[in-house]
Amino acid sequence: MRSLFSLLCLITLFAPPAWAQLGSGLPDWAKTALAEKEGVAPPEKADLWRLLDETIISPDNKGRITVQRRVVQKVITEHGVDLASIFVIDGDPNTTKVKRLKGWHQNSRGKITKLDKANVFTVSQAQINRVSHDASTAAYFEKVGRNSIIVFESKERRTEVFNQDLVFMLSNFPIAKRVIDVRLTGAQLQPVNFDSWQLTYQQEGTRLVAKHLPEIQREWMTADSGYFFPYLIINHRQGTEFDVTFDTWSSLGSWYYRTFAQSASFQEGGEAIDNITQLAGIFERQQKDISYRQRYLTPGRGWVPASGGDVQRRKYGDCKDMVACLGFEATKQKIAVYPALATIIRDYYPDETKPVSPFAFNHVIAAVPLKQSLGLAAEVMVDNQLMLLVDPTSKGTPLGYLPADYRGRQVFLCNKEGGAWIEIPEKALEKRAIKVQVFGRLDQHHTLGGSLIISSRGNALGLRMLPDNRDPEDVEWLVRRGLDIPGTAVLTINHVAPGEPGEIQVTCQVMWPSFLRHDVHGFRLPGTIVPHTRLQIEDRGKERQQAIRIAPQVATSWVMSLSTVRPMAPGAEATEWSDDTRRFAWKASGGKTLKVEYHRAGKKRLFPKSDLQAGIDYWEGYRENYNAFYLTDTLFQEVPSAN
Amino acid sequence: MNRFICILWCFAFVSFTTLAKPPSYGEAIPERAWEVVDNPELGIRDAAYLDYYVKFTDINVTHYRLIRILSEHGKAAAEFVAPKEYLRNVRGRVIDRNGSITEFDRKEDFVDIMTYRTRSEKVKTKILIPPGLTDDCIVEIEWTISGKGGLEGDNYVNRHLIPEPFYCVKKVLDLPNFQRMQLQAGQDDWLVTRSLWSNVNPPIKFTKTKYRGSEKTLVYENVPPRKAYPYSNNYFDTQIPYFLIFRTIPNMGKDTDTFWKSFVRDYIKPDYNAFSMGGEYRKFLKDLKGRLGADPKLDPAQNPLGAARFALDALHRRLSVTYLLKADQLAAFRMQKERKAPKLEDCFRDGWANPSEMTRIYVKTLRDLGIQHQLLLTTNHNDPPFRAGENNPFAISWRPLVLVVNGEQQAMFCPWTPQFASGHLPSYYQGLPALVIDPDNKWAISYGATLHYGAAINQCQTNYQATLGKDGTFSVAMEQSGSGAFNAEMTESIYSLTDQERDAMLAERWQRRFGDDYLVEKVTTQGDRDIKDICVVSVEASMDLSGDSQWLSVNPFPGSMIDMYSPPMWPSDRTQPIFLNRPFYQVDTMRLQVPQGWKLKGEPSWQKANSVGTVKFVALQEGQTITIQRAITLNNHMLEAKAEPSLRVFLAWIEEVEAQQIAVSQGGA
Repeated sequence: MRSLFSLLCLITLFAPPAWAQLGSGLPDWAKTALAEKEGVAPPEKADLWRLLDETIISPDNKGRITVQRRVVQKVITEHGVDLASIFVIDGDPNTTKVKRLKGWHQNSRGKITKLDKANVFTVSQAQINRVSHDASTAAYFEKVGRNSIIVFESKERRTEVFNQDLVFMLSNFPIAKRVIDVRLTGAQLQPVNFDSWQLTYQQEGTRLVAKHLPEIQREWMTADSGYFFPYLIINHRQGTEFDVTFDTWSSLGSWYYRTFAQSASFQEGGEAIDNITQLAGIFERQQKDISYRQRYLTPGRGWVPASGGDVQRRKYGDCKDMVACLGFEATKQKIAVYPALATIIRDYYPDETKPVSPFAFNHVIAAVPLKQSLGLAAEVMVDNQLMLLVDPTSKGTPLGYLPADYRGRQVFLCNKEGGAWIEIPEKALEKRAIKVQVFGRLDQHHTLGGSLIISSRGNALGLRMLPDNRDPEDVEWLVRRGLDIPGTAVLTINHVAPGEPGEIQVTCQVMWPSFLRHDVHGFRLPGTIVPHTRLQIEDRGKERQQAIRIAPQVATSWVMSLSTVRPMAPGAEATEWSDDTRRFAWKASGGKTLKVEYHRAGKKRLFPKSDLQAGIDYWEGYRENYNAFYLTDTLFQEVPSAN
Repeated sequence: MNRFICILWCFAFVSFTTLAKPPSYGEAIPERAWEVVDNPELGIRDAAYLDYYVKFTDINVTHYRLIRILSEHGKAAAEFVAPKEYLRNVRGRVIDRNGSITEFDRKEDFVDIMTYRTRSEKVKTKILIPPGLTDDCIVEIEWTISGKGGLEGDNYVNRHLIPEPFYCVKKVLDLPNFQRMQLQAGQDDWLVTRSLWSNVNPPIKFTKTKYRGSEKTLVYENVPPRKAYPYSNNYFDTQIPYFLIFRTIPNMGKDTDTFWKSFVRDYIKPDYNAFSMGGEYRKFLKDLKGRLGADPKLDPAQNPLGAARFALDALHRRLSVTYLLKADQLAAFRMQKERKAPKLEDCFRDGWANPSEMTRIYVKTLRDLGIQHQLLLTTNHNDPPFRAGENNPFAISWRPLVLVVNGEQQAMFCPWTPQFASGHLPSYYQGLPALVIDPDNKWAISYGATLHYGAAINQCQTNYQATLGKDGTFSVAMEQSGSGAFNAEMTESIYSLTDQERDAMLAERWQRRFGDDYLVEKVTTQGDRDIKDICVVSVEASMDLSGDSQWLSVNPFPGSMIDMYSPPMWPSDRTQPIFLNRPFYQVDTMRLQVPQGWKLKGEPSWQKANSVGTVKFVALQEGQTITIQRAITLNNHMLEAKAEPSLRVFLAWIEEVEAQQIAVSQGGA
């Protein structure tokens, strides 16, 4: 008996760490998650390992949705401390109410601290150009260190806008087990990109469990869109603010048309037009009067426009407010206007074949039916009806054109019957091009003193956004940004004037130190004009993880005439290369006056996860050609004098 | 008597009518307001404040703005953001050129945003984007913020720059009688309010007058807009006038010298005067005295500077500073409960001290060693400089730097930056005005400045040995170490990591810096575990340099960076000084062994220099060894505005030398 007692005392005295590691004090589900990974090594190079990430979506008894989250994570390195210490819930306090927020921190000695409510704070995400009630609620632990285990549990009540939610699977750290359990009426789960990302997952009804999710690597030349990553579309029939389901694009289209026209106060009875005068008047007044600002003060306002009259009073609005205002005025004059959903900037190209979702779009433009062709570039045929596409948000684009960003895209026209996908033809886009002529002298330090004559077509430099009485510093900023002129060069803007239709010309003086820079056994032009050698796309020893984006290049030409102190000769007098994506062309002659022409242009290309090798191969081929050209052809050498 | 009263009355009437009035909301807009248009010479662009009026009272601050909008950009001048808790009475309207008026509607146009919420407080902000703004209109807006003693909300200081981002036709600051205000506030309000204003230069016209109903009115006219410059600090620009209003400690004396003497006596002396410390400190001191005594060169009486340096080294080795702890200390620090009544002795038990504790202990150590010293209170390069005449105790750090003088020589010690060599002032404390306190001379005060060092104390050397094999393999061994800021930066990045984490982090860092063409095989460090030692990083890497070309392009300094960048744009007409990071001297040297018959191509050596610094690139070959060296000197990190053109040119040379490679070929140059 006595020895047993002593034994118990000994155990109690010397085993506390071991006992504590059993996780007493942590909730059962956390203990289970820890036990599952007991003795398992974390993924290589992980700073933080999330053992469990569980999301349970269920209805409450008032037609709203409750989202419960449970997170269990372990800190592996010092670098993971900050990431592990904090748990964030985003949302609008009017639609997302945090009902419960609990946390536990077990330090490396096994001591457990509960989340101190004083360490929970909410911060607004509003900005002066994007006024909203969006906020982030964060809970954090102090004194987190290596081997800390952090557990968070939250419960939010959400008032949903749509019968659809998207859940993105990956994070900046590896996740051992991700559970998404949807307990909503009529719920259907649609995994997207799970197979191309080779995710290990199982689905039982509307409960999905994915394991061994990798962390998102830091890579470059990546596509700008979350839709290249694995995500889950959840469609359900729970009551929401907007009574629309996403079975077909048509149901989305007719709902949006009705909602839009009503909210914007469109008048009925609008018809097709046979001349542009009235519409042009409305368009120009609006371009002048209405500024772009986002104002999302109610849940649906990310989707539903303000009334046209309201936009006119405020004199500002976002893209859909601008379409609402245009339609408000136009329908008053019996011109029919339809909203068309679009996606710009992001590298997502929705079309009929993509999953039906309002989240596919981030922009709205207008479509106006025409009785006959008015000879405008942005006319398209939709179901035997000629339509003019108008983007009132784009300040720099004249009526009748669309900005270059619509290249290769489709927009979804919404009408009473449903809607139609419209392919944007190349002819609808204003051609963008930049040409820079350089005249000047290079002194003995190869500093250039001279002038630049810049031609910007199709608003390539964004100069149309400036008022007529432009400030020279605003012009300078746009020129520097568009041409990537280094801050070390001094530019003085002399003159800005329109040239040919769609063109703006800028002339300026320049003092550009180290214009010709020393390299190897000669000199090179600035990287602004002829870019440096291209880097490899794959990090050493790592397999490429994410979709590849080959960036578009605005057609740019540099034409230079430079006098030098000593005669020089270029590496090559003429080189040209092109494939179906990119091209460059070089012409140069030497002596005491260097004459150089360099042209380049390129299309955007995207290679999704299923096609990565093609992207890697493409880039390697381009890189090899470009680097070889750069190394030898673009090198200027001083020529010894004749005598 | 009647006549006398009549004259008095007339006089009052005249005074009453000739005294300027504060602006009044809702009156007709004068025609001449519409005549204010873009004027590049004066600096009027985008928008202009026709009337920018602020009235300070003991219970609130009233604002009035009459703004001329001239463009899309200018609409920003009319945006309104104010803390909801303290905001009273806001109203406004937009008057368009065609005469239409849009009044702001309280419910519709003002949005309350929950800026910040914790368990104990909720902070809301009211945002207004005026409806109806066009690029040719006038906005009138008036609001009141409640406060105390002339400051808004619960602020204690307002250092108000007179120039705004847009031109001010007229800016008016209407001030009360602060003393009377103080008497009225009485016992409730312990702090007093002081205000002062700096000199004004043309083209700004300044008039000190008296508006009706106030005590003193400062009127600024034709104020050009203020721009944002790179590497700058507005408070150092003598061309930018400011108005300072702040709550301060009472009864310190009006006279500047008296004020600072009182301040030092009441707030600095108690912490840095003689006090006793317990056993652990006494052990440290005894050990220190022993080591100083063992070396005649370190006799505190003969060589106070050397002894002070030695003492700070010893202290930094004994105690870590809390923001830079070793890995095991960091773990223990995180386990520790909050100290309820911290004592200085606890630092020795724990093995760490926060910056203030470290400073107090160091000053005590000097006193106990009999080393005479002075204390300097100053600011840093990001904050307003110390200006004694402000009598503002909150615009200065209360934690001193320590000055030790020995005849002509002097050294300044920063006790809370152990990652720098003792006696090295971090660059952001250099060259600043300071309050100098002499504890050995009855705590007398004087006005001085912190020391200003040149490039020599921040040096970085990176040495490369490389071999180009006949088969094209290129193997490199690099060793990098530095002094001053370079060593401090290296230390800061790895000191708190475990050996394992440090090695993993450095391996990744150097692979990234060398680039993916290289395979970084080994990264080791030395000297990173003693905070006062020089940290040396060694890297071994290799790559395949074979190619089809007739010559090979080689980056002679893989992975070595030059920490100097030009911003994309430098706005014109700069008048304020330039603050760079630190002056430095950086040398990279590569010794490259090439196979028989291989030669360096061309003559790539060059050198460019100006008042800002020097950039030098030298390459020469002797036998099979090609030596390439690049040396960069930035002479000074605090430059006058007029040095900007030279700085830009210098930065262009940096870009040039950073990208430069050498060419080697088989069989001839």
